[in-house]
Amino acid sequence: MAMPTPEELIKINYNTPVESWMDTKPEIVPGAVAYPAKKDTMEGLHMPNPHTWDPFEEDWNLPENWEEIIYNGLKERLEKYRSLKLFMDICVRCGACADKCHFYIGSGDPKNMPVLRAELLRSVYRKDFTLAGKILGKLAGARKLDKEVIKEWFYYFYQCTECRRCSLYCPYGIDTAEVTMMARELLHELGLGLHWIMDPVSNCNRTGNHLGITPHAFKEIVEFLCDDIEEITGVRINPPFNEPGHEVLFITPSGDAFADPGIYTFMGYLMLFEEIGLDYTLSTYASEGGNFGLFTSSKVMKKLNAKMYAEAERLGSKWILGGECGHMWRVINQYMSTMNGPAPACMETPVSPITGTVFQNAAETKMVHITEFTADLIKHDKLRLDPSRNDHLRVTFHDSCNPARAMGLLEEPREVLKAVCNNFFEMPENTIREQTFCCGAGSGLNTDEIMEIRMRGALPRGNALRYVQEKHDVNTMACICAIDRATLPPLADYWAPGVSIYGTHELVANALVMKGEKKRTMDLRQEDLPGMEDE
Amino acid sequence: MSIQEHLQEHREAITAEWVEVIYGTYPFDTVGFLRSQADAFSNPVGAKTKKAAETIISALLAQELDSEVVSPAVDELIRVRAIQKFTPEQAMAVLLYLKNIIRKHCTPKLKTTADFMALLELESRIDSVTLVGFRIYSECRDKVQQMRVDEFKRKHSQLLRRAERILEKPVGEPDNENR
Amino acid sequence: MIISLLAVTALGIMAWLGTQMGLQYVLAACLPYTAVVVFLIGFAWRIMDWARRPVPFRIPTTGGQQKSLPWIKPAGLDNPSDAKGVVIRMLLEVLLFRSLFRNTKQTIEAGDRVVYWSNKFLWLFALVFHYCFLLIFVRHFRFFLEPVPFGISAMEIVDGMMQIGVPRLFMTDALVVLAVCFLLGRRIFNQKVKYISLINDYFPLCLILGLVGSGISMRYFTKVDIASVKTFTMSLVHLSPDVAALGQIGTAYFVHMMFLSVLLIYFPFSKLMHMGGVFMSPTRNLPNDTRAKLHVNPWNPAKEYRTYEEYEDEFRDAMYEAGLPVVKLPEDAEE
Repeated sequence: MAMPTPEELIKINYNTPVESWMDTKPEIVPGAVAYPAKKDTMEGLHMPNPHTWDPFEEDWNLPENWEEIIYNGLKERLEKYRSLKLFMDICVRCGACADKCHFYIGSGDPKNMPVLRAELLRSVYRKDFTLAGKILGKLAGARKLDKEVIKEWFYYFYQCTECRRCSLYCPYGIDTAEVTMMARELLHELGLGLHWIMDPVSNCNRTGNHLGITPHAFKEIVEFLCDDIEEITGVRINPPFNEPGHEVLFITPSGDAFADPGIYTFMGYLMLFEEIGLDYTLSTYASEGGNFGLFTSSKVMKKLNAKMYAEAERLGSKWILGGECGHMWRVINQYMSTMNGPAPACMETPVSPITGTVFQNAAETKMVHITEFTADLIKHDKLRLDPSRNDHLRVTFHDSCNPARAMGLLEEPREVLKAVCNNFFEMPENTIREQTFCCGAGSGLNTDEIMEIRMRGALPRGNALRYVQEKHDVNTMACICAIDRATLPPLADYWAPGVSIYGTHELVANALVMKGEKKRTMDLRQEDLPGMEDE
Repeated sequence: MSIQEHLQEHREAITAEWVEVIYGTYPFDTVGFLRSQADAFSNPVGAKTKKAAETIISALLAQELDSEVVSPAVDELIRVRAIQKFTPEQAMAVLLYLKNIIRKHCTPKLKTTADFMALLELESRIDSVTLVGFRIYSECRDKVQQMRVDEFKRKHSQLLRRAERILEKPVGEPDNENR
Repeated sequence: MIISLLAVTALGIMAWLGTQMGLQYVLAACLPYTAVVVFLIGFAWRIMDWARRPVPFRIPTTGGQQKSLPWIKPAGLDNPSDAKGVVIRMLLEVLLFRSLFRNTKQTIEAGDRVVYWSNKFLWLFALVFHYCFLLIFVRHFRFFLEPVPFGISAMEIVDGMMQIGVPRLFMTDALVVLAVCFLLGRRIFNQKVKYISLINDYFPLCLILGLVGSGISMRYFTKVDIASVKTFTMSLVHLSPDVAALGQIGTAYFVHMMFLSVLLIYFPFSKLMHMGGVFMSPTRNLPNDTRAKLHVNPWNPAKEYRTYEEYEDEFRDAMYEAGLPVVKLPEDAEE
């Protein structure tokens, strides 16, 4: 065979593809989709139609009546969710969303335009549920459901991180996250799921955390962190576990306890609580703030979330303090009380025991975000801070999608950061706050087999980071999300090498002057603090 | 007019053509996105490509091929391509394709042996740029693999630590007792 | 695109042929009556069909700072925490297309200067289109009301303020054509939008272009007998169509009626229902207050989760050994 010339290799294409998007199919090769969930995992969680399958094979071993399952599943959801029905009906394809998606910007695949992503489902909806679609078929934008469509769904609905950026710009508020969630529910009805989502779900259900760490090991791991704190500060902390009778139950994503650099954030929480004398307990049973059920189905989300109130009730906590996490806070802010509320009778509207501030905005869920709590402490001048300990860091802040667009937690982390760091710089305006770009791996896509896809999705954020790195010498990106702490290090490594990722409370603890601490010569990462080395 | 001068004159046209070709390799361009959006943050690939192409062509036509100018520009170009759905040869081919464009612009002007020599010299420079691109491409691919490993280590950092305490030796070291 | 254009042209030709064949009564009375009935029933049915479906969760897209600590200023419009805020947010959305207005862009000019500017053509033309359409719609009430209310006459004077031509050119007529052409143009020339467009997108635009075109031709070019039109429309309003007046009206009127009727019939079954749907969008019409107030899901399933007791049963021994508090001691549990 003749070798292709450079010209042939790059397959120059100056024109719009002649084919309609309905006729193009994704190529499902290794690296293009994440690994499938194991049959055992799905069985253990009583998910429908568990089976063994391989996305790279032609046959996905779908259940025999798969068409019926999808039809009934879609019908049921159209009845149960006004959102879905409305979003299927009212899109005018104006294209305002098209270039708002980080995956579209980074990959250029037209089906990553939110409007087309939704059309993947909408076209099937039209065929089965609208008169025009039934009669006119393709003329009315309808298409028949076949196995290729299922594969296309699996490919593209797992290239959406449910970040809701497109929804912000949509004149009708059409939320692709909602469409993606429904499509994923339908795929799960057929027994199709991701290993990287279903395994954490299963672990979280059984042991209380995503990695499946047993309670005694969890305790031991937290104690390692206490050893580190003692080494750095000279202060010994012995956090209570599973103890009834404390005012506050503290829940954070388990990634903070297990994974680098989340562990430093976890140390930050412990140091803060110790310093202010907070009456709190940790729980091994509810040791996971994250909720991969959000990426699976509303049923699973509810199942995992229920543990929080159950544990607060068992321990008699008055309110729950929640750690830094993105999707966890979407669940708490928009789903928790509806799904599992009202809160147990023992709980009260949260009041900061230090400042007396009443958190009226959490009167129903009784759950306060740690940056709200800390911003309040700082405002009332209850913390002794030495921000100069963070002077070697030039900090920017990455808004996580969910706290930004499903909550509006924008100023609180900034207030905290500005109090603990002297060098703070914002990234460009259309990449932060409610317009923030995703890390490229939210909604359960933070698995390494699809690293290239993640890096494409990470490009817009990486580009903005690179900009402040070049302009302001930024070397630190702070965040308030455990998934970010896992996904931003490779993002920075690839797109803006030299920038490190920090949790906000790690920076707080670096600056926190604790009672009885020894002179700090190291930061929480046990790296020398410039200018504070032993004299 | 020497070939160099001729090309200097056509620099903008060459850059524009090359950028078009590079855009043409992306699926993006099937919908005209790269061309139509000038915003560096809404359309980073488009912005990066354009800037890099300009820099590389200027550097090629300069007195001396300055690696400190060329390398970052090639990096901008190749770093994006290294994680797309391209095969390695597809990712790299855009650099070599510049030769085709330049030849197209030079051929009618080639009159003397000196002109031919100048073109060959320029092509050698493009070869050098391509070699830089190859280094960057491999670095990027290595980086992606390394990121996978690092990510695994970070995710399990505390578990590894616990395992080490239990085993009383670093994880990953050979187990002597079983040997 | 071509199919939509052909379909609309065919409708126009049908109306013309109909007139030639003496089907004026069918075109000007039967069809519009049917269309109005279909539109009203269809529209109401679609709205009720949406309204009867529950909103299980409160999922507003928040576009600004939440209401939390007293000294942090909340973004009341983009992240409303109460009904008042929601009403204002919806008004801005419906009247000013606020979300579409967000389409900001940013460029780095030579040097390091970051420049913000807006990509607001879509917003502008969409707004122009919808408002002109509304004004033209309202203006048409002069044909259905006797005497003509002052407001409508005043509106016509303002609309014709440019004083171009006889009869005076209404600005809205010119603008609506311009806006529709823009909206159609971007579906043809913007490749990205072209790729996502379906026939359902071209057809209504072509239809509206036909409707507006036939209306303009009646006013400025073919000059149908306005007095007869008024007599006839008033008779329509009184449910006793005046056949005599009908005879005095030119063909363009019947083409106009045809387009209008088709639009009305098509409306409830198409994406044009975004007019009603925008009011019901759960990411816009709900306050971000679920942490402060209980939102009830009518189909909330029963709680089903792994209880602490089940958890302790599995890990009790190890927990006890590690010094974690247990509800039942290992020896008690064995009994």
